[in-house]
Amino acid sequence: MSLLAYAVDTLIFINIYAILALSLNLEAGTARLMNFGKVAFFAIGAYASALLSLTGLPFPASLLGGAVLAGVAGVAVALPALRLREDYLAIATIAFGEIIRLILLNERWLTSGPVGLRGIPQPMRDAVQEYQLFYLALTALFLVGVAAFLQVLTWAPFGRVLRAIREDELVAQALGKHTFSFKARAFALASALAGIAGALFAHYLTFISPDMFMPAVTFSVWTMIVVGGRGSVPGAVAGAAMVVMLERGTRLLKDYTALGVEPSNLRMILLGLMLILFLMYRPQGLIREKKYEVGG
Amino acid sequence: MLAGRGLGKSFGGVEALRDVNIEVRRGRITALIGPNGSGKSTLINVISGVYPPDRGRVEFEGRDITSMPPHAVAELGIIRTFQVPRVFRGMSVIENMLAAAKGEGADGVLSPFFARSRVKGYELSCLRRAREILDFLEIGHMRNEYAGSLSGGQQKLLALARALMAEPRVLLLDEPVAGVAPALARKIFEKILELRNTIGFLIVEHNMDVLMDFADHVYVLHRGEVVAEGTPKEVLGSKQVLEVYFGE
Ligand SMILES: Nc1ncnc2c1ncn2[C@@H]1O[C@H](COP(=O)(O)OP(=O)(O)OP(=O)(O)O)[C@@H](O)[C@H]1O
Ligand SMILES: [Mg+2]
Repeated sequence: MSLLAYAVDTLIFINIYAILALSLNLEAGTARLMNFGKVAFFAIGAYASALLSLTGLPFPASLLGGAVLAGVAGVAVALPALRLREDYLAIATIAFGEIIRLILLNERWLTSGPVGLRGIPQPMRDAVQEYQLFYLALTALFLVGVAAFLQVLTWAPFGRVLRAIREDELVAQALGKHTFSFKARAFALASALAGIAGALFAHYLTFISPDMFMPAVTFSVWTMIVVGGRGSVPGAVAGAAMVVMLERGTRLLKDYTALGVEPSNLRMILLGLMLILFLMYRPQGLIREKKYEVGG
Repeated sequence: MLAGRGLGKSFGGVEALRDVNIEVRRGRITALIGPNGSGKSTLINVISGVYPPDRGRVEFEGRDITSMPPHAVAELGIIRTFQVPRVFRGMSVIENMLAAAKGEGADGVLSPFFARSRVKGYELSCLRRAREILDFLEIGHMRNEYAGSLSGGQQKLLALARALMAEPRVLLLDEPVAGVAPALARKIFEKILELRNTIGFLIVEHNMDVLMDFADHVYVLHRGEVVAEGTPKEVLGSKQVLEVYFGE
């Protein structure tokens, strides 16, 4: 891969992961819904969209299908788990992430198992010359759309109630907020957005397999929002850029140096280190959540 | 309008409420007193749906609301504050206020996109009301500070302001002016006096002077039971109350 192609490839991944980080940020940053199975919704979007387009459906319909299915999965997890105490959501989502990965591995009739899906069609493949640049523009368009949507929503009355729930759920209830409904809607919406990210991921690579959807993905995305600044929309994007570049950097390192450590291990070590450093020295992240203020 | 009938609540072995009968009416200020651990906060928690009672009923305007979830109780207009002020610490004071306003259909996921002008109008009217309330409670100048950075007394005021913002029909206030400067505390009670014809009040308050001047009806709780009730004059001089407070 040429250096330019590598740079464009990196940017595409930043766009896709930024959408994923934005979706986790809505749940965990704005509302404190501790989703530790984020990768499951990414995977559902990826597999659903890939399978739908392999049956001949056009890209927009496949992508929509991936988003809807991920959103429905979000509702299915949210309805029981969100009624329980906060920590149960964390446990339920971890379990859900593993269940989805096992389904991808074992339900071969649907997912082809460990070998994964190949030949996933790409939108406008034959119509465009510089396909990579086209895909960069496509993912950028989605990222801008999702970010703008979430920026407005976060600072609208809906987002304000999510912040109130994050700060003190019982008080929000005592002020008349049906917090379960707000949490369920936020979780479903975030899951659908993760599904969009998954679809963009699948159609870019044209090949997906279960080992791309390990719990480590969830860990990366969490690192993105902590580093970026929990609750901050631009922060989630900045965090995604930083984490993707760090991951890319460790891979480059492998090509140019003789390291004693396996690069994927080194990547986890560096991510963990970055997470700890931010939590200790800059807990508000790169871009602190905006404070709602009014003039004189 | 709001009544507790035969309310009982135990925590493990502790009987926090036993056969408590209480009534809150519009037009009068109802006060709740009693020594530490006598069950005052528990009563508010039971009425507001935070804890379901073991026995008895809560009625609001003839309707049984026992064990309704807190948000449903609040939606009826029964708004409570907490003894330890619980502000949304990581949000600005003004945003605490806006978060307390009724949603009025503006708080949907799609409302800011498909009902933009309605949301705008809603926000403006909420802001206006929020600033009025904050100014009245003398914390208007703190509107852009994080609520978590307010002093304890200011947090109490914000909690009260937020409760007013929720358009209450009944306010259950657990020591609303603890830690607030006496002059402002009196000003708040004067406002409460003004509002009592539109809002029902149940107030946990210890200050005897304040009770004498502002309360219309006082309940005395002791070890989970109502041991006396009546006008402040009747109650505060009574033998039971002296016993409760100064030893049996
Ligand atoms: N959640 C709880 N779990 C266990 N015990 C509780 C709980 N809440 C209250 N209690 C107990 O119930 C009794 C009544 O407590 P409550 O807080 O209602 O008293 P209070 O009259 O509000 O006192 P104070 O003047 O100190 O605020 C106490 O013995 C208390 O320890
Ligand atoms: Mg108390």
